[in-house]
Amino acid sequence: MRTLRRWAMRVRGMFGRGRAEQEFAAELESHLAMHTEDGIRAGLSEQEARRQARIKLGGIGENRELYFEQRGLPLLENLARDAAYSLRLLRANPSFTAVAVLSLALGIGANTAMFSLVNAAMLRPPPYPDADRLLHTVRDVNMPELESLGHTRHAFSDVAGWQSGAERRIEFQGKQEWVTTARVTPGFFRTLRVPLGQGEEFAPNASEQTAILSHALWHRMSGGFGDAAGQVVSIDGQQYTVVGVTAERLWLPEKADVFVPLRPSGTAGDLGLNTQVIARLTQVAP
Amino acid sequence: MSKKSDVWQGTLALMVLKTLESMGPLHGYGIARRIETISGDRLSVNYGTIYPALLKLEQEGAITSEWGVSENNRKAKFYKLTRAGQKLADQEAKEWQAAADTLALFLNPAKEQS
Repeated sequence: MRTLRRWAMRVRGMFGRGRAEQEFAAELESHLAMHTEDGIRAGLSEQEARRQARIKLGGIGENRELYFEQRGLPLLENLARDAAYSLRLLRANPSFTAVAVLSLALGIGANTAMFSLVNAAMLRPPPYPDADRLLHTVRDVNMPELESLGHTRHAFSDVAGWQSGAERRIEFQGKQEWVTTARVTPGFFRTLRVPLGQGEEFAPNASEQTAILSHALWHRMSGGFGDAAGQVVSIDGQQYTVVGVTAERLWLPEKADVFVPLRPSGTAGDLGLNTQVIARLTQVAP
Repeated sequence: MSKKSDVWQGTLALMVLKTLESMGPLHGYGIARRIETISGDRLSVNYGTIYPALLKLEQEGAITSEWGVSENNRKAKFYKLTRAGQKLADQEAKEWQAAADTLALFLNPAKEQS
């Protein structure tokens, strides 16, 4: 408790330094006067008495230093003094200051940007259940490779393919929009373990002219009412039947508003390395 | 002639408190003078070191200060023991005595054997 009080007093001691200096000087002066008087009474001359009193008191500068070190928090006070000095120097050299500030700003900005990017892309796990069991291909594959991956059931319980598609124009009940499309294999959402908000995923034998819409898109186009399943939309003039709507909170590395089925077309285009694969590791029994 | 040694902080605080206890309120010069007298010239107090010690005791609440007038009609800052200061003095004195007694056992071992 004593220590606590002492430190509190020291914080207070940082303020009012001017008046404290005056008071301490007065105290030392009175001390010298009293000592000199005693010296004179002992028979010394005033000059000699005063000299001896001064010696016995010790160095004035040293005394002041020790006293004020005890009074305040010298560490903080020194810090403040150094900071004020630095500020004065900086103000006296504006061009140097400008260069320094600019460099710092660029450095800090670049670092922050890089970290934010890496944080979002890599350090934070993707928001899917059991995300640590999800795998993503390093390079794109072609359709035959995707097929063969689908047969490795002992390693992967689910395999899904994704191709990012072109921007298309969608039209529904008079509303039009440009949207990003993507082609996904049946079971894509099952692989991610993100259930659809409405409807069903593409069946393995689903027609090519079926589509799954994103939750945001469906809301914009329909006001959010009614069943999307069975509705017909027009994409670039072609009719598609909606079979499902995604969950409200779905995060994908590449945003897409419209999903259409992905399957081998039986043409040479299948050999293009243009498909990303997401696979889920089989659960190993503990 | 015994060697004059420097006074160190902790003991100086206790000496100040004990001085105020026996002398009543006193100014810094008086306290320093009295300590030197009591110690019988064994200690040489650089009088300036009294003031940080007094300040520390005041910060701890063991003493209070007030400007007053000395016996020679001179303005001086007087220091007074508080109740907390009195308690502190008693406690510290007890601890020092205990330490001295324990040390004495080691410094005079022959006495134990009888």
